[in-house]
Amino acid sequence: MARIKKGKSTLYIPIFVTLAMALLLVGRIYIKGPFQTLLNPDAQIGWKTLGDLDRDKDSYHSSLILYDFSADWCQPCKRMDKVTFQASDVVQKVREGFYPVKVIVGDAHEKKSVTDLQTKYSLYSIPTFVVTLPGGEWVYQKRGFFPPKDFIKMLDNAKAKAYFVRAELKLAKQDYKGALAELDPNVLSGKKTIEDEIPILVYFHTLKMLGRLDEAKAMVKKRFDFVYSKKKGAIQANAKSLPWPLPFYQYLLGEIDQDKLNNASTVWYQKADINSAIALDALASNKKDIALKSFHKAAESAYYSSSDSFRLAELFIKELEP
Amino acid sequence: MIQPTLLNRTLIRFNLIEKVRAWRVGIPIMLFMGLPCYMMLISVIDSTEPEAAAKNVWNIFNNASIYFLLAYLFISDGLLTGRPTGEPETLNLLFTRPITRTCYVLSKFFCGFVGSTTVLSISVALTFGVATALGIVENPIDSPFILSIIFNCLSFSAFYVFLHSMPSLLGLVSYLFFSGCQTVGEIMSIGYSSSAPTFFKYVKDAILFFNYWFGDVFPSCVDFSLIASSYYACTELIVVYLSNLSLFLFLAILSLSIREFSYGSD
Repeated sequence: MARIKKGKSTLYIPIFVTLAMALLLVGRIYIKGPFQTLLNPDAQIGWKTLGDLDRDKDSYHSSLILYDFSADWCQPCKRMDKVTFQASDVVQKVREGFYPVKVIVGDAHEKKSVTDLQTKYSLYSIPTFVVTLPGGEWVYQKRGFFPPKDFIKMLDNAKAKAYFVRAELKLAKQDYKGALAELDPNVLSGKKTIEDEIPILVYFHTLKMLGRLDEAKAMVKKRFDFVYSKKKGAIQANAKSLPWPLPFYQYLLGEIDQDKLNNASTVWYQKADINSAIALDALASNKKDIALKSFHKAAESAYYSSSDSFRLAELFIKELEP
Repeated sequence: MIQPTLLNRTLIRFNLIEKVRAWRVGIPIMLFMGLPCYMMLISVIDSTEPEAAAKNVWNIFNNASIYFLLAYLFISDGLLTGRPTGEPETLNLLFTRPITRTCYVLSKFFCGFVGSTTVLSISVALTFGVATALGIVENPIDSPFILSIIFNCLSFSAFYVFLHSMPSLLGLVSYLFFSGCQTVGEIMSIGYSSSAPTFFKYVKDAILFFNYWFGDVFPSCVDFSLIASSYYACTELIVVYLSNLSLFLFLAILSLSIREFSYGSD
């Protein structure tokens, strides 16, 4: 029978692990229980309710409205409250230019208003953050948990986008000079580039209507060349048709007609961009009926109200409909 | 003769060197090393926004399943034996070369941690090399990124050692329970209803109770930049992280100590 040789005992390890675990579990219960009452995240950001939003109409005319769609059972929402909305730079950023409104999904007191907002901004999960102009025009939307750094970035993006939406509003009212004043001068001077199709379309149309077609075409051509160089591999593999969004730029440059543009894509959200481009083209030729019809098609193709093409179409439909 | 050591050299040698030599374990490990840099290559080359594409690839290192699978490769012997929860060397070790249960658990934990950290370090280095060669300037390799990888390897290794030490069925039930507690809140946030009947309200409350108290037992990726962002986040995340680590090691030692091994099972 093998004799167990006595050596240095390692019994202290399980004892240490057990004690550490017991201590940490007590700490964990304290942090998740009583420690919670030491925090009051609402007092820091100063969240308002939908009722306050109605009452304070005169006080937030220069701010953007930041909606936080939240719920009591939503863990990422609670993490936002505990982590992101506790950070002082987030609080400062929100207070600087936003009117913060917390919308509790499932709240019995504001059920109708909440449901209306859910429908209006196509909400299908929470937490979702929606930024709008004081008039309710949708500017920006993001969902999910954001650490403080990303949330601040999101607020900056929303602020930058707000200028663009104001430009779109003026464009819909055919105030081209007003629209130009809202657009980013760095983009107009070529120092900064824009990537998405609808913003490019808005810049192009504004410049075109102000008689600066050459400048508008130069901007689109620059973007065309950049995308072309990046997609060279795909273009060589399929020489029959150019990949999206190159046909869109070709249409703006006057190199292809409406039919070719329509045939360039079967994807629904790309159809929204195509119809928006056709609508603005019709509007430039003073064909309001065709423009309205195309904007309706763009809104239908866009499907989600949280998309640039849907918002653009909605703004124009509002202005053009008799 | 029971070896009164903290870590067992034979066990470490087997899990970190011998096991990796076998193609069944070696090939998946090579894949883990090479896949992120391959993804970086194909994503950046064919993208109009290379910086954004590169950022997406770097997010792979924030994926919990990678840490879990790496811990599985280094801790479990399932791939070697062809049985998902196989543990062929447990009995051999406990009876022919006796070591303490604590030493067994700590050695396995050490192997899981060192193995997955090594694989991911090589993977990060390769991905960084490819990204730099492709002209990507913004690579998120800073101290919070590296610390996050190290601490994720620690927590997932501890969790897998816990599962490995439990009897197969109980291990599976524990896994399902803790992962269920974590994901049920997210599932509820996807499909919500404001007009549910009262019965469902009670069910919801019960689910939320489990989600709140047990939802963070199942390890999720630690983000060090988040820890540094606020006092509350720092306190809560650190306490939860450390208590999970000690809980898993405690349960692993406890489970192995009270568990009875059948001679027929080996």
